[in-house]
Amino acid sequence: MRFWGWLIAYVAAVWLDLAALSLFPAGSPAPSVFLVLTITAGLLRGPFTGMATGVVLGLTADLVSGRLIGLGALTAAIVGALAGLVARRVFRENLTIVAAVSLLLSGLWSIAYSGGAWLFGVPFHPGRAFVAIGLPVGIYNSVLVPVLYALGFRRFGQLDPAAGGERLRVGGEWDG
Amino acid sequence: MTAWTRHRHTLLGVLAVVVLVAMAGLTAYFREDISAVERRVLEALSPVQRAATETGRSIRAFWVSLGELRHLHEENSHLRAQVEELLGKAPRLDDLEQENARLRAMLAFAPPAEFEALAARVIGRSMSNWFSTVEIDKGSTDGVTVNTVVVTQRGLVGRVVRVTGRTATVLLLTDPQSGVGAVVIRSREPGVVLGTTSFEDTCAMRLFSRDADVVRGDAVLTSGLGDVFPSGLHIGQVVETSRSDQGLLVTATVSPAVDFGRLEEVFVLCPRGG
Repeated sequence: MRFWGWLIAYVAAVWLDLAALSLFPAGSPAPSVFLVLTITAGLLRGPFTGMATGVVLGLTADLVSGRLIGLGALTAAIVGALAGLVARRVFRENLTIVAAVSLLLSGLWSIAYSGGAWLFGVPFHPGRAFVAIGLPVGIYNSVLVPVLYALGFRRFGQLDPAAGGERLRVGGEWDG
Repeated sequence: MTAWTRHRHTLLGVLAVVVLVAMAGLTAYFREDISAVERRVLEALSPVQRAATETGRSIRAFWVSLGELRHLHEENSHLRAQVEELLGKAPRLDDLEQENARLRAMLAFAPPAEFEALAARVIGRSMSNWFSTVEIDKGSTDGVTVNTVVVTQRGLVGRVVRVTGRTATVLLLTDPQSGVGAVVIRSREPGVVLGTTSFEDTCAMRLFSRDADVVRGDAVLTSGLGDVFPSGLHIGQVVETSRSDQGLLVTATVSPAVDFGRLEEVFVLCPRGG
């Protein structure tokens, strides 16, 4: 039963990502639902969940794109893990902080991806990639992540930093 | 507690990094064939991609109609009731009308003599912000192979870089890994049109001669040099020229003839008898 739940969630994520991408012309920056989900998972459930979400969703995007398979997964995993680590150290009840973290991590993701691609000989310039891709995607994400985060926070609660990252049920109350 | 239990997450992380970096290195460039895993993922996601793209198009059409409704509301308040009534039908009718106009234009398209034009529909864009590719609904069962050229009646779109049974991935002219042999039609100056690394909707034409005669407004066609693109396909128009590397290289910025933002139907040029 749990498997089917995850499978449905996965297909829904793919569908949402593709639908969001199709709203924008090919080659132009579009919101990355996969990155939004990865950052939110990291913020809500900690570094390991963020990393695992990044690997699964990033690898899907890589396999569909067909180039640099693994780099998208790796960079998304780093972003997911960092989101989880950051979540343990910042005041996450404030959605402005969540938005700022999303913007920062998206920028970092664009630099990491383009830098990695450049190392493999693909002509991406990290600085230009940050301006052309990282910044717009970061702005989209800084709007979308807080919305999803607030919904997830109500549903799943948050990690308790004092309990070493164990889940803490908040009881459906949003106290931001 | 065993060492595995204690360091499980670290070990899994390191293993994942090694595997992913190795895979990225092996797939940094285009391959002649794709792996079975990629083929299965692409074929499994193809219906999802098609449905998601249709959803996106419907949302876009609805958004456009909302803008029109607002305009009409301000100018013609007495027509509000009529507009409300038509609102449900308008997006679909607009969509059909535009599709009809596009298909009529496509009927007038004559491919180069050595090719047959196979009409295909764009079913989605790349699932990545990093690459300028689109997926089309024709694949190897329709005779599409890697490096098959894709055009519209306006000009060159790109080439096929990956094929499954029923779909193909088309690398657009604007992709940073795209390169097309080209010639300026007025002066016959040869060069190569490259996708830009600044993720813009223009291309850069590197001219081979440092005294190249190229000016704003010049039309650029494929030169036919190389094995992939036939000569004479319209690439676009020069919008800017510049010199770089101590004045040794002349580069022209080319605006593609094809509007990649509105790419819905294309022609795949399959060699006759091949």
